[in-house]
Amino acid sequence: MPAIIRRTPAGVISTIVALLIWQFIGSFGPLAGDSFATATEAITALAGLLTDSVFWAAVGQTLHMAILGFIISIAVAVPLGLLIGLSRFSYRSSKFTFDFFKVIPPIVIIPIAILAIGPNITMGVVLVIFANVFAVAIQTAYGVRDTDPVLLETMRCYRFNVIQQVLHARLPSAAPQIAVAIRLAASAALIVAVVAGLVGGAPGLGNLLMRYQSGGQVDKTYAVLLALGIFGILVSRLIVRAQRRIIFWTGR
Amino acid sequence: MTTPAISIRDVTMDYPTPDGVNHVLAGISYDVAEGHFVSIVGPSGVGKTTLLRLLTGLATPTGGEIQVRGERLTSSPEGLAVVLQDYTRSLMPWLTVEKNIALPLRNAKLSRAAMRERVEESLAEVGLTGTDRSYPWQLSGGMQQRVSIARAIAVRPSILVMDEPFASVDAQTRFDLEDLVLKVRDDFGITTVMVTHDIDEAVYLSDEIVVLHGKPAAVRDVVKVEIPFPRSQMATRNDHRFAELRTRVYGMVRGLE
Amino acid sequence: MMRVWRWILAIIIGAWLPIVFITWWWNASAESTNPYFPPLSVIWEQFKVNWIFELVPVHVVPSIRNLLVGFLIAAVIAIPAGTLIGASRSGTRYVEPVVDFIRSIPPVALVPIFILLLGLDAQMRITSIAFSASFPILLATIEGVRSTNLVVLDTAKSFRLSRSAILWRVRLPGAMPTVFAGLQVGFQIAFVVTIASEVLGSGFGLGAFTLIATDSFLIVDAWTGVILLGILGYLLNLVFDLVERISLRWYYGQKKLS
Repeated sequence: MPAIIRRTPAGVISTIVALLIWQFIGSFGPLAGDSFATATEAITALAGLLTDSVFWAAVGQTLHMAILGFIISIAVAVPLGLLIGLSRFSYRSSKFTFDFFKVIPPIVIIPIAILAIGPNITMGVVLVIFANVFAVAIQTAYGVRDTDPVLLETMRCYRFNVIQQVLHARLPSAAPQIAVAIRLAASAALIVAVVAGLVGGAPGLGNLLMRYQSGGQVDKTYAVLLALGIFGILVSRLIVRAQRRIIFWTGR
Repeated sequence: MTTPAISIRDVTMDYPTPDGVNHVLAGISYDVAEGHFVSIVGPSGVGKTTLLRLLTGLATPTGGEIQVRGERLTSSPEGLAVVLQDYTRSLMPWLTVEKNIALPLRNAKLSRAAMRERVEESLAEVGLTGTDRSYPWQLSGGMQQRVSIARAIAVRPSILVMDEPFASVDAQTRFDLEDLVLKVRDDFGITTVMVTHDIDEAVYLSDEIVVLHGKPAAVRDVVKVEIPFPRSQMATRNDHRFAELRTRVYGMVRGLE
Repeated sequence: MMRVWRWILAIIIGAWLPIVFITWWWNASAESTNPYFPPLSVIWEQFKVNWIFELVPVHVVPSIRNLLVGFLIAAVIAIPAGTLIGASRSGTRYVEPVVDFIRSIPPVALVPIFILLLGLDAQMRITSIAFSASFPILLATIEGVRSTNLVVLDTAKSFRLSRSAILWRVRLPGAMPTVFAGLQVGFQIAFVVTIASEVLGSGFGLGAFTLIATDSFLIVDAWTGVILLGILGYLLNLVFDLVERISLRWYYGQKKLS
């Protein structure tokens, strides 16, 4: 193996190979034609989009829906989950209901959302909240309930009151669980914001993708997909980094 | 006669289970004298830990009562400190050693400086000066258990309760920690109750050993350890009284006597 | 006896909240004149007309068939591929970044691409479902196979098992708990893409039915579609959990003991 290949990171090599394969299929395979963009076409179109204000407006709208919905879900779900998790009765009472709504994908309620709210940014925000609030709340509640009983008993021996127990034991104990839920919620927020545009007609990248597709602008359709993949990777990297810093005591 | 530090009066404990009631303790009576070191021994599953939970006020007996300095126990008493077997589970991994020790002091309403001083003193007592900024999980098992002990003495307890405190550390560390406990008791005069399954350890540390036996458990015997303090690992363990006592207690625990 | 009571109590505790909620919805919406929020009693009447069982063969059966076929294709391709890739350290290093990238694209966003390529028929839908569902399964299998318990691996080697026997009979079964986590994510994605492929592709299927009802202001029909989709989503998830519990009995048994 030539030295230059050995020294290049695997990710770079595989990306180049994947792009070459994509280019080849787009040029020679049975799929080649007007409805399939080659790698070069897609990347050229993406470069074009990067200087296009329409694209950046769509990015802004999608991020608006994703971030606002995400923040509201967390702000509602974590305190709610904390309350639910404090007693065994409230936890068991809520478990079934929350699990039920947790597994229902937001795409299911899009028709109702279109009717009740209309195809706009608010609808996107509501869908993001619906997608996340149940999962984060029940996961938080689980984490709170799952606090080590030995730790709680130690605190009771040292005469800590209930509020101190929540602040110093239950909440930090639940933090890893909450972090996992939040990480999933962040990825889901982006995806749902896009789906709201694709299926529900809300503004943003999903809508742009749909417009390019139905307008036959194949290269731009692929370019938006590339952009979505890049955003997705960036979001998950960012969250993992933040998580390592905040919950430093796990995975030591 | 002076009031005992802890008075256990005809205490019974039953647990309801899906398969009927589980009788754990039947009519336990025993007084822990002020300043004494008492060990509770017995075969595994006999209810030692249950008795300990009652003493700490974490559970309430189904019959009889426990008094601490003449007052009936309803929740964890003031001046109580605990050291449990599972140091990984009773120390908080998200707090530094210093903050772990300082946490129970919040209820003592100390000034920030006084709190800091208390933490430093306690760490010095257990020989861990300089580890205050570390996290518990960065320390060895024996050191973590020292942190638990430092946390316990920082609150200036009048009663110290320990549940198998040295069961999860290696043999050498165990000897060191036993001597540390003797020193702490010497320095602060704390009334101490310890549950252990290690009879040698019970004999080495205690003024009195309570032997539980039976199902439901009752006090089989109370053995006075009349070996003078200060004790030392070499001399005390070679003392003929030590050998006699451990043989006797061992026999009682195994039901041979 | 006490066990039975406990079981009944658990059901009551789990069920009171939904019952209160549905009762509240039923009463609060009884006099509703808001066209978008019709009375629940009206929705229920229409639900019985539509889904018990008049339209089930037309709209529900094809949706579920596409979902299952697409998901099975994804599993059948992704699990063996993931096993082979995961067994080779350099294979993993080279493949993972690209798979990770494609996985980061919202699955529903791929549907328009498949519509461009394949048109609007069932073949397009199944391809979309299979493609999107395969990535989480592939990644989970790679991860599971890569992190085989070393003691188990050494034991297998000491029995002089062949390389392929170690791969398929030791490493893959050991990876199954992780693989199932990927299958679960893949299954949820398959469900979403099923709906999306119908909505974006127009025509038959429960997703299409519901969106067409919305667009034509058949609001009660839209509500019945949403409710049925919700129930289906939950039930399918439940079935999946059950299959997992049965397939991974050894794993849950072991976990219970520790």
